[in-house]
Amino acid sequence: MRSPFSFLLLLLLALSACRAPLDAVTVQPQTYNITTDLDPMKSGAGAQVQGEGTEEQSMAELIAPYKAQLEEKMNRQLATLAKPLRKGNPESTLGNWMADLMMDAARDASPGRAVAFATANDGGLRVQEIGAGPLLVSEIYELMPFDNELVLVDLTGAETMAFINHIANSGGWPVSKELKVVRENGLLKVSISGQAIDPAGRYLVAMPDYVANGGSDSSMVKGKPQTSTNLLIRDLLITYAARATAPIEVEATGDRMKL
Amino acid sequence: MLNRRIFLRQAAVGGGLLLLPGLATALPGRPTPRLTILHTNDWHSRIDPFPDDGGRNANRGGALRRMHLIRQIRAAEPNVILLDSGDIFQGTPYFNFFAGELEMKLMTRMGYDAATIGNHDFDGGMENLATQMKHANFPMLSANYDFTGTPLAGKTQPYQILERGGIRIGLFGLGIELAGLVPEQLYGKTTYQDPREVGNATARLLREDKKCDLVICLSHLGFKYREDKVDDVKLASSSRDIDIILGGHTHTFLDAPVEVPNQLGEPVIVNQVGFGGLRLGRLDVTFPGGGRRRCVACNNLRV
Repeated sequence: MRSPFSFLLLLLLALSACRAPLDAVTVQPQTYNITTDLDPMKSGAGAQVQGEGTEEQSMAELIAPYKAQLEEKMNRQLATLAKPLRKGNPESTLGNWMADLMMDAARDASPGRAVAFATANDGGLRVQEIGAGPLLVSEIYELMPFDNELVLVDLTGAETMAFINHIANSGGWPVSKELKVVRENGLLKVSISGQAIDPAGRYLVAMPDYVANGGSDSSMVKGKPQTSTNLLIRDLLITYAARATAPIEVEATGDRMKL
Repeated sequence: MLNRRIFLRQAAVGGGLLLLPGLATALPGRPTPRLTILHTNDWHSRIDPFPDDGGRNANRGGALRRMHLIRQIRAAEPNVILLDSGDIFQGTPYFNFFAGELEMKLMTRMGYDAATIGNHDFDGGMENLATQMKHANFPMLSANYDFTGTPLAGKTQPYQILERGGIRIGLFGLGIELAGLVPEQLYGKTTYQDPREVGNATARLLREDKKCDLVICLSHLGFKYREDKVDDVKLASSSRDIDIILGGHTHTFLDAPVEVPNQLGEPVIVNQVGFGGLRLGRLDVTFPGGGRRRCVACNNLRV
């Protein structure tokens, strides 16, 4: 790797000796991966900046009280994951799990009227994966760090269809199991709880207030009648995840979103 | 190749090993000013390493390790600047509970020289960002957000000029369009101005009026979009006076910076280092010729 470049380098330097004003400014790029090798307390390279009284130690002391406060709240185990939950498009285990919990919460919050389905913007899921094993409160915070509230948006069938088009055109978002979207020959086939969408019907769709207010380019749902649930999505995930009675195992078969 | 104003060398991606560029002192008796640029983007409150849960990033990243690496580089290099391209906030409970205070304190300890504002830096509201900036001893740069009439009015600056080892560095910040991305109540009366227009005017000012040798844009526009939305690549191709764009927002892991020809056909270097504090980017800029050629865009100076 190094030797051909050393040669080039020498050549350049040799040329630069007599043609200095014409030289290029050079940029040598490098990317460092931040890994355990860089633990300040490890032996090896950089020994001169280790040990007592170093800036690293004083920084660790700065972090410690904040960390201690968080650990009390964050290390609680909610459930066990039998398999990792992974984010992906158009359908994913992490997305399916989350949307179904949002749907459960939406149903409980709307006893008077049926909720059609729940969805969340794909960009709102902030981790790629939650590993198998204990599911901790901290992992839900990392999945959904935003203070987004679950709201119910009252849409006409036509508006619902426009919103689903947007979801599909965005590569597929997490949706609860009631919604099935298949793209065939460029056309979307959509059903909600086994029924085709009635353009004249009304649908109550559960989603983050971020989306309901036009976020993720969702202008088609902005300004439509909204009902608040007073539930932060993060908090409802914590509550509903803890209700699992067996290790959590989620499938993503393309049954909900096939694009 | 020698006539190009910037020559980009082969990149190295490593772990903790210090791979020194080994260029500068090769010619005895000829001081070659070299600037070491270190940069991050989208570190998203990732103070502790990623949780050790078997996931892809398990046990990677972490502010203490970043500090350790930065200190090693500072010990070996005379002229180091440290920059961030936004989305400092949001992503771990540290932000939910402490609103960005610790992030700012840590960046101050690490010795950041400047940062730009990412969309998630609005997440606690502008009042909160203004409050947390009190814990930062580095400026937040934004040339294309107009904060008039908001809590951030007068608290940011469009650009910053640094001098290191006789090299004059012009830095400026560009932010992404907020409508449709950030809830309106969080950005309030902030107005977004065209990054290409404002960015190129600011770069020109830094190059021509402020006589900067190197013009660096801290961008939170995103690396590259298929659609019309402005990104770092489009900004670079529209430019004349920007040498380097250090980007963010799209969490793009570039193993090496890319070169994008500007309006004059000269390369602009665009880089981005993923997210979550998983990586630190480094660019060593060497000005050869015993300091006679200090500026990057020297073509106009050639006799």
